[in-house]
Amino acid sequence: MQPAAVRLLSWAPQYGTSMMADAEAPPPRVDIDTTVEQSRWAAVVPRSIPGAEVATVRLVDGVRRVEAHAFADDGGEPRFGLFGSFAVGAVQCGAGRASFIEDTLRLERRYLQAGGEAADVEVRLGRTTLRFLAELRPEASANGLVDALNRAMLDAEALLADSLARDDRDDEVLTLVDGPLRRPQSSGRRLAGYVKRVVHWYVSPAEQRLLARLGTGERTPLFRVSDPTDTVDPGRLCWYVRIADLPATFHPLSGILRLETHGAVPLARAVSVADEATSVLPRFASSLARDPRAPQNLVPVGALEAYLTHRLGDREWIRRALTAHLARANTTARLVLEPAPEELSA
Amino acid sequence: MTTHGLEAFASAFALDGTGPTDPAGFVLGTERNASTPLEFWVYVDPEHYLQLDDVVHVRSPLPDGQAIDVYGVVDEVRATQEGVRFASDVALTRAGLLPAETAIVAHVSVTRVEPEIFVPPVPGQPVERATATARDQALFFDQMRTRIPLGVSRAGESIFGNFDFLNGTRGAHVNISGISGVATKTSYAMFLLYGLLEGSALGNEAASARSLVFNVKGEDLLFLDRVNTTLSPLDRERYEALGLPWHPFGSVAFFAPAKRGGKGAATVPDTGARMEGVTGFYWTIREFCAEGYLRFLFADADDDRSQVGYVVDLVTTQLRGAARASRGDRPSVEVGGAVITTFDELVEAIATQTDPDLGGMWASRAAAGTVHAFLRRLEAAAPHVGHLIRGDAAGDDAAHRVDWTRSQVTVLDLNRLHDRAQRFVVGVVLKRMFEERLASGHSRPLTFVVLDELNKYAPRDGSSPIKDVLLDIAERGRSLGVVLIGAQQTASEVEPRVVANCSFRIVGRLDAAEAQRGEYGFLTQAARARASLLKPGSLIVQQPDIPVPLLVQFPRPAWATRPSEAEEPNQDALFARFRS
Repeated sequence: MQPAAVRLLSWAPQYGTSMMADAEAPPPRVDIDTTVEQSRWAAVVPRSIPGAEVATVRLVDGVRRVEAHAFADDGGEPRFGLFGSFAVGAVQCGAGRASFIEDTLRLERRYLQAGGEAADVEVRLGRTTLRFLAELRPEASANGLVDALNRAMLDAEALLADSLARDDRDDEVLTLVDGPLRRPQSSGRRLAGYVKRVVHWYVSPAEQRLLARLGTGERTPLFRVSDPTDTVDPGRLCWYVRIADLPATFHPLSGILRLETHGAVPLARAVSVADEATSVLPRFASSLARDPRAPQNLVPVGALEAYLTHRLGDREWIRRALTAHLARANTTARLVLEPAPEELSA
Repeated sequence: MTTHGLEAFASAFALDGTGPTDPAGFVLGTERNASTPLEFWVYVDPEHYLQLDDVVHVRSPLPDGQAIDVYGVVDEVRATQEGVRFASDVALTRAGLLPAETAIVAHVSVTRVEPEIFVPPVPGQPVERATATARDQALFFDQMRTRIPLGVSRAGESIFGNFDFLNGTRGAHVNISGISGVATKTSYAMFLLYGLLEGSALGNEAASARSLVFNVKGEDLLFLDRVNTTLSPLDRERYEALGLPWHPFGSVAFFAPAKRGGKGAATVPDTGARMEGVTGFYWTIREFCAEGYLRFLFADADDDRSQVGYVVDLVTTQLRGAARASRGDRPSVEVGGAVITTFDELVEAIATQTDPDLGGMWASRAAAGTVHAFLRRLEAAAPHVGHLIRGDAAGDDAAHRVDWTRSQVTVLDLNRLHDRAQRFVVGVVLKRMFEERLASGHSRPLTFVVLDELNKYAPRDGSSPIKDVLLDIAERGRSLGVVLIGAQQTASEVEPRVVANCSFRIVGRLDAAEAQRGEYGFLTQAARARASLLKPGSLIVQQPDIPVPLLVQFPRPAWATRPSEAEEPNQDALFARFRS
């Protein structure tokens, strides 16, 4: 037996890897139909399809940040609290210009608490007011609160993506959102989600071999992923795209991205969305030199993340403002900050 | 959908609603571009631009409810793309893949703070271009008792100087550096002089003010009294904006060396382009001996270092004696019984009286070698200077003496003279002028001296009679009302005490290496860089009132600089003169 050919995966190790799935293990409880678009499992080359090039692409993304973990003391068992901020926004690429769509920006701050009673926290400093909206998540652990913050951000992303897609009156615009689509009830017009990190392969090992053979800007045929226990839900229509040819030292699966659109979308439209996305995405692929999650972390999205993070405000400044606020407020309430999150993880 | 609306950005910073409604930008407060009391950066509103030399104004609040007004001049502007990290990002941005916004920031050097509370302007404060009164305040024009026109900014706005720093009240003298041919040093010196004599600064004194202009290169200054027919409307506008008329100098006398040759030639000026109205000048042998002008023939720095100077002093004393002993009504002198009427004869007589080999006794205490060195140099000078010192002219000698008190402006055209003769004339004329002023003891009327090639007349190293005179003017001229408008290619080659006494320091185009020298310490780093790019007609001016150097442009001369530009003198006026 020959020694195995060892090739690298492209992501920087501190980000994990773009491939979390065990290729051998099929995901539980989903039905896969690889014949929805065509019976033959072979590469689709949208470049050859007229009109596959879309004029304008909008990309939606969000960032979140835990500002502080806390304990709320009301005399009984202390409850976990969490101060967090998130921002979602969109970047538009078209007509030779990329720009942030300023009025899509949403910046929110939350105070999440594991049960009990909680009020909004307003931190005033100079001309600025930071308003942390209170939300109760009974029985949540500290990590549970972090997940809750994440879900709040993802909901905001989905809402924004949906509203952008709904606003699009012409077929010139394609909206892409980071991560799986989260609002299956949405009709999702010219909208697709892209998944940077493979969690499930969905297709069989034999079918996966096509992924390694895809050329840049080529995709697999559409396949439907649905829940066999739910006969009403049309599930999702998915496809794989190669967005970059990496040097031979990297495994060919490193340049692969999975996209999906809602299963309710008419097939013809899903195909046209898939073709457009496939032909446009390689332009957005980041280079190994500039992004530790290259090529999947797309160039405009990387810029959007940096922009949104900047708009969250200065982390140290906010933490100091929060500390000062609680020092004043704690004559009435008892809320104690834990050490900064990064100090905890250290 | 708006992208990256500045409105939101601006409103986030709007304070009290007292600021300008349409500011050019906002004071920056990043770590890298922090605001300080003496300099700050401005984020430039994308709807506006700020360029070098723009004058700006910021009002900044203090905690006690007061506000300070900070004024400054833009001396650097930088454009960056925000949101890019790598050089190649610019290509991604152009391809429409990477969102990036161009951000332009301008650096402002503070010129003035009112009241004088030196705190940084608060980041976020709106910055506006200063115009009208605000601009006058920014550049201290409002505090100048009497203003003199220095030129216009590139935007066409007037720039003034404080006359108190020129007329001796608080300072005096102007020094101009720059590469010949490009820096337009002489033209600017004449423009300054024009502004002084034809503008309002001098008031009643203008009529009595005198100026001595040494024309050492070309014949540009021989037409100061003729209209420049090629003056453009723009130039006229500039003169008007500066409160100046645009006509030639009103009162000018021209002197040029008398021609070589016999008796008749002495009255004819040696010029090329213009003879009419030019007086040929020379000195009599008698004056030469009586006034001790011999030393100005030994004006090289190394003449002074050697023992030759000693012999010069001995011979000068003897010549003075000879002049005293001769008949006072003649231009000649008698030496050893012979009547000397030409310079060659004088040289010969000096040789006879001085050379130990010929039995000369005038310098008996000096070594023979030194005496010979003296004679060699005297003989070498003779062919260049001889025709300027004569005792044989038929005309009225007094009419051919350089009389700088006759007109407002006296131009000495020396461009056809040999270097040695130029030094002689400059030395003699300056010395005489300064001694007269010294004797009068008054600081009025003001006397302006325009002299190029200061590096030749007052070099950094060594000493010479001319350098002594120039040092006298530089150091004591202020109290005597003698103002030196000096120029040179490189200030680093000029006696530092001459330059240091100048209130106005001006540079035209400079060699890049020269611009880095300590003599130009008054220039900011940005100004040094610009000095090597200046076009003809643009200079950088530093004056004591304004802490930053300013770029000025000056209009083309309102007077002709060559025959082709000159308007023919009015024929009727000529005939009128004839008839009377």
